[in-house]
Amino acid sequence: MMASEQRLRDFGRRMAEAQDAAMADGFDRDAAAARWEALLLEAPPEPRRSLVPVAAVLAVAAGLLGLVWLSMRPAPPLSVVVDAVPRAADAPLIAGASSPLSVGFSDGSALTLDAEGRASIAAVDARGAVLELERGRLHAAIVHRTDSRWRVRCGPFEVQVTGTRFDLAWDPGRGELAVSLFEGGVLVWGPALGGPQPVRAGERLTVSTERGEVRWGSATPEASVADAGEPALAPAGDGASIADAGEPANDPRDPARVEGASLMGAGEPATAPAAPAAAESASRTAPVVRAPQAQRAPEPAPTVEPTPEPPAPTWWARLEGGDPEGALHAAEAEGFERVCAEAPMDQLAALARAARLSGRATRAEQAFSALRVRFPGTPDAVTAAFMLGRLAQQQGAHAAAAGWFEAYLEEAPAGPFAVEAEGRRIEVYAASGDARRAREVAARYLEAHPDGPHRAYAEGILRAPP
Amino acid sequence: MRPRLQVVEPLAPADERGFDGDDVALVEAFRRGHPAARRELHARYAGHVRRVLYRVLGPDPDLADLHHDVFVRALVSLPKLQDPAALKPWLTSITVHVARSAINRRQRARWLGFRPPEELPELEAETVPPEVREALNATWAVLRAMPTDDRIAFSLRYIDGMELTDVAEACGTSLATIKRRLARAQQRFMTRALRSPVLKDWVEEETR
Repeated sequence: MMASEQRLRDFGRRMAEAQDAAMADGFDRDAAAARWEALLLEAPPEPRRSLVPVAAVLAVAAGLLGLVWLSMRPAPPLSVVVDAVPRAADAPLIAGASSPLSVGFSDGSALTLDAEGRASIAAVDARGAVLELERGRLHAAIVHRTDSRWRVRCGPFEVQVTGTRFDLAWDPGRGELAVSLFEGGVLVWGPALGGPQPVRAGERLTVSTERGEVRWGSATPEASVADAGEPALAPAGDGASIADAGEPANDPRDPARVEGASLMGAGEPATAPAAPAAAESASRTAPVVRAPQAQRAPEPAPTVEPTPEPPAPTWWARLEGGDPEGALHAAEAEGFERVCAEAPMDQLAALARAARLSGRATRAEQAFSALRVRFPGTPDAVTAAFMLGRLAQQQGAHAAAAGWFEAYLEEAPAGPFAVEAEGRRIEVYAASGDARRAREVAARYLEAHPDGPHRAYAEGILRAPP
Repeated sequence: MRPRLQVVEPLAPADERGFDGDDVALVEAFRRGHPAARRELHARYAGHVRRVLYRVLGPDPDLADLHHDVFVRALVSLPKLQDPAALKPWLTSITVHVARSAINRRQRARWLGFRPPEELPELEAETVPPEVREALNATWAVLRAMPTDDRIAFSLRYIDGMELTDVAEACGTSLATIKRRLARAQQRFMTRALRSPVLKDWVEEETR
């Protein structure tokens, strides 16, 4: 035994040396630090409370029992008031041609949708809501609470909010997003960002999916106020864009801003021109890959002695038992939004696949979207982009489908679905009537994949009269 | 108009730029909400956590996420740490817990057919000679076939070189249990390694 013990220790030492050399290849310390920074942004420091005598704790605890009992009851979802009139949460939010729309929530949070804007509330619960900004500009003032959970989806982008004041503009035609922060901080996920990007007070982030551009600038309250009464976005065809409309960033007359603003290609990290402090600049100089736990309270970690994992939820037990339909029903009973927000990555991926294979497109979309948001950069999240494209294509949402296929190709240009995604791009452009783009993509497809499964289809597109 | 970087990323106050102090001071400052201490926790232990994860899991595609997960858990639980001087073993135990959960989740997913075995990557690092790379991949292949707890104990003891008491603490179990796990793991590893054309020479070489 002693001989074996020594042999193994010597062998292990050599393996450890080799591992240490191999590890140097794959560890992006800057990215890890940036994710930690993003997490701290969402979890501000809370000084430790002073200790109180045990007797006092017990006395207070007795009094709190009733409150705990009350707090165990599910809290009602926030109520919604639109232009001072109570409204069902699922009613669409459509601003007038020249008048904005005011939306209030019972927690005190308030939104203003600029003229010509269109949005909807995809989900609402006691802690916040998931908004979908279809187009236009949104001014938001979200009340901060420890458990608040707000998100805004804009096409392929998602903005995670806790308590903050910000403006958000989304132009689906141009694929442009602009986020201006006046208070607090948000995290933004989406194409060309290379992972969740924290946006802090005073910053303005603009992203163009079409050009693969990401710009950083300054957010000024003046710009917000000045723009408030104007149309949310420049009219199509006038050459202006979100990035330009009222955008102080990259002003050529301001050398400091030109120098400070970063313009980068898809997937490239934003590059700050100067480093005021290494730790501070880490979140700007390196792509942030994931900060999923920043948006919710993670499960408690072990102290000195790790505790076993909590029992698996019912829906997972059913899925493990080979009952995908039962698992979906159980997940809905448990709260599908909550399951999507809290399930571990593998379980969430399994749930998304089960929903898709069961024909539950909406649930599949929710679960795949949650994978994208919570675990960006992982193989499951990359695959989710392709699956979301398939789902959108099935529902006739051609522009969204094209966006997802492009997102997949951007993230996994040689991935297992890359050829399929390229072929499906031809289909969705053709189906949407964009013959020019369909022909362009078809030509590129045939060049790259002369024997690909979409060859005949691509040739047909090119043979058709322009 | 002020330059962007002055607006967006102002210089931190002097007392926030760095943190000097031992682990006890670090934990105390962390609990007081000192921003530099919160950064220092990551700066000081990111490498250690990464190493322990790598020892147990190998070149795992989720390594970066699991690494982050360890610190998320630490962020939540650090206020409850009873002995600040034990920060490093405490972080190690969280790391082992996260790694064990990942292995178990993956085994369940693989059993369900959601994740095919070929998705588990082999090492492709350019910094390691081909023959060493082969040995590392063969080692992980043997370890992946072991029961999770035995695999963790083996990795920490024989590859990371931890003391038995540290392995027991990291695994949250008694010394006697760890010795039993190591005895099983040692026997299983040696049996398979001596049958492996790649590992046979490596293991026998140590006795020459």
